[in-house]
Amino acid sequence: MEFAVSAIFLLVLLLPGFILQTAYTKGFWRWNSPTSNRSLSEQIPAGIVLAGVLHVLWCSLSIALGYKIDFSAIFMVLTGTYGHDESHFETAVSALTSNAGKSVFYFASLYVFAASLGYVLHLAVRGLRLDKTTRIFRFNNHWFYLLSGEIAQFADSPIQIDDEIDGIWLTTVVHHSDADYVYKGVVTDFFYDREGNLDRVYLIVAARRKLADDRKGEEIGSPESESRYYPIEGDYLVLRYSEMSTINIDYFFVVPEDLPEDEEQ
Amino acid sequence: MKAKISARLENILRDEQARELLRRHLIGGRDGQIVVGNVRYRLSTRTLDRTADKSESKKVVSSR
Repeated sequence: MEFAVSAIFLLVLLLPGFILQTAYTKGFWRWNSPTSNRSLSEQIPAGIVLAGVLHVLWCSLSIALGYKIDFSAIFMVLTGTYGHDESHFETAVSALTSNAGKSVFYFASLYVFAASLGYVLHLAVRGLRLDKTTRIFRFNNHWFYLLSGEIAQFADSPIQIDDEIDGIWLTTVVHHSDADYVYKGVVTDFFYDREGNLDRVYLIVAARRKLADDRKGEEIGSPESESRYYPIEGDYLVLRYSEMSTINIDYFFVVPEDLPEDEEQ
Repeated sequence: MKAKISARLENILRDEQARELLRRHLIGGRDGQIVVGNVRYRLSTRTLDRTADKSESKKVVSSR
């Protein structure tokens, strides 16, 4: 019973640290499209530190506003030690339950603050482009940066493109039972699985050919080299990441030009 | 999550002929021109060239 109370109380205490982390790393993205993926072993230490900082801030604010916090009762509940013959158990529990309303308000307001702070920090990092200029602010999701083209705006990237790209042309090799095939297409959407790994990619204007039909040197750029491909009928081609063996990404640009008057329709 | 598709590319993709031309240019790995209505677009896939162009222009500016 005492162990369960301690465990639940510890979870309640650490929750703001995890809320802050989740709100910061995910921002307003959907649950299945995280902007940042971090392992649990990374999240736990950071969550404990952040929860500690938030509680110091919130406790200071509470005391400044005239509220009393019974730290000895908190310590007893956390450690599960209530003195000789557990004589202080009831005292500790009553200290928490007699001010249930205030306790609930403390934690509820702290959770809301942690979530809001996380979102604001996320927006600030994205809005000020700190993740592109400074490695420490970069979210841990290379697929997001790669498939959005933002990787080319990193300060330490060998490819520097200040302009926004217009599209992403993906080339990948997929193994079929009869042969390996090269698929090409413009990326429209990409999705993650529950663990935050890339799950599938949607392509449009897609085409494919057998990998064995590789071009010869003299065919490069010639119409014959294009004839090896055949367009895939349909609106979207869905490719599973688990079935792709290699991936090549081309960023492309479509720049409007002035059309001579005699060419205008 | 939506991948990057600009409004200009959306304009091309909405036109069936332009879409097919875009596919042929991209498969061929060449730059090219695509006309949609009264607008002509220059398709460029040479990211590294753009990088080089930018560094050259920076050199020119810094040498002045």
